[in-house]
Amino acid sequence: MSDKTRAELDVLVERALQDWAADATPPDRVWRNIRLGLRERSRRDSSKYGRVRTWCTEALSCGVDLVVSARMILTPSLSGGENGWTRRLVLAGQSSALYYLSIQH
Amino acid sequence: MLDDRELVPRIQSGDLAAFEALYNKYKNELYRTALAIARDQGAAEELLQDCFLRAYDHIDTVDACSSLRPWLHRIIVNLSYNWSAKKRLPLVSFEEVFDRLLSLPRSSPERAFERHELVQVLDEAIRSLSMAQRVVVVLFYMQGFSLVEIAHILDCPVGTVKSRLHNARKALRRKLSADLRTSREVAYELLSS
Repeated sequence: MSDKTRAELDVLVERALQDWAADATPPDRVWRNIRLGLRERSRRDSSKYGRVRTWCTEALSCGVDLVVSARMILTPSLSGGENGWTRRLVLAGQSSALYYLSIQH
Repeated sequence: MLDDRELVPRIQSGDLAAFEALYNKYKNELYRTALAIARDQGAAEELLQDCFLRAYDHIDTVDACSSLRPWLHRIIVNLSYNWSAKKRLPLVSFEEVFDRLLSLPRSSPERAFERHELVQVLDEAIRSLSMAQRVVVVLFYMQGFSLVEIAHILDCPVGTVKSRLHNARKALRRKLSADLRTSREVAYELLSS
């Protein structure tokens, strides 16, 4: 094959490829589907993050309760003795009766 | 038309109008690339859709100072590879194509159809290339990317791109030359158009 023929064939391929599908445009439904896809992802993400947020809030609240309770129980009372323990347990939100009895024994 | 450098930060901050502008800017060339590789209109639509959804997901990783054109082509080419691997894209044998074309009477009055026929031969010739060669041919001839840009899009050395393009050209020349001998005038018509 001569160089001339080779060059002609190259140009031919180039032209054919440029002409081929030169007028092809995607239909409008492609963009509509992309928007729907984005909306769906955003909805999915927000519900996923929503669940994580609720879980984190509950865990945090539980942790705060534990810390507050522990602090109240373990902080030495100025008055000391049994009355101090029962007072602290009452402040920690517990009924004093049962703990008072158990401490007494 | 808005510059990519203006669009990227807006898209990164969640501006859907900017994303739509980006879609309108690149939709036609990406669609044509997908169509040329997949040769299937439905698949090309799906590939374009997936390409933009993926682009939106990864827009934060983009360098706001560079053009998105090679990056978007990289996405659509990768998606096309995956699609063809799943579909096991059949390759048409050249022997079949040329047997059918050569069996047509050359003295038929449908001379005007020959040009169309020639384009069809090219179309089928390109279709018969391997996926790797076809992608390089489409990006080089149809989209006008340089060899370096194609190497970046395909994430391979420039030498590989050169060799794929060389082999694709060789295959196309070899397979087309037989038919061009019989329709020289049509070839010149196409060349001079």
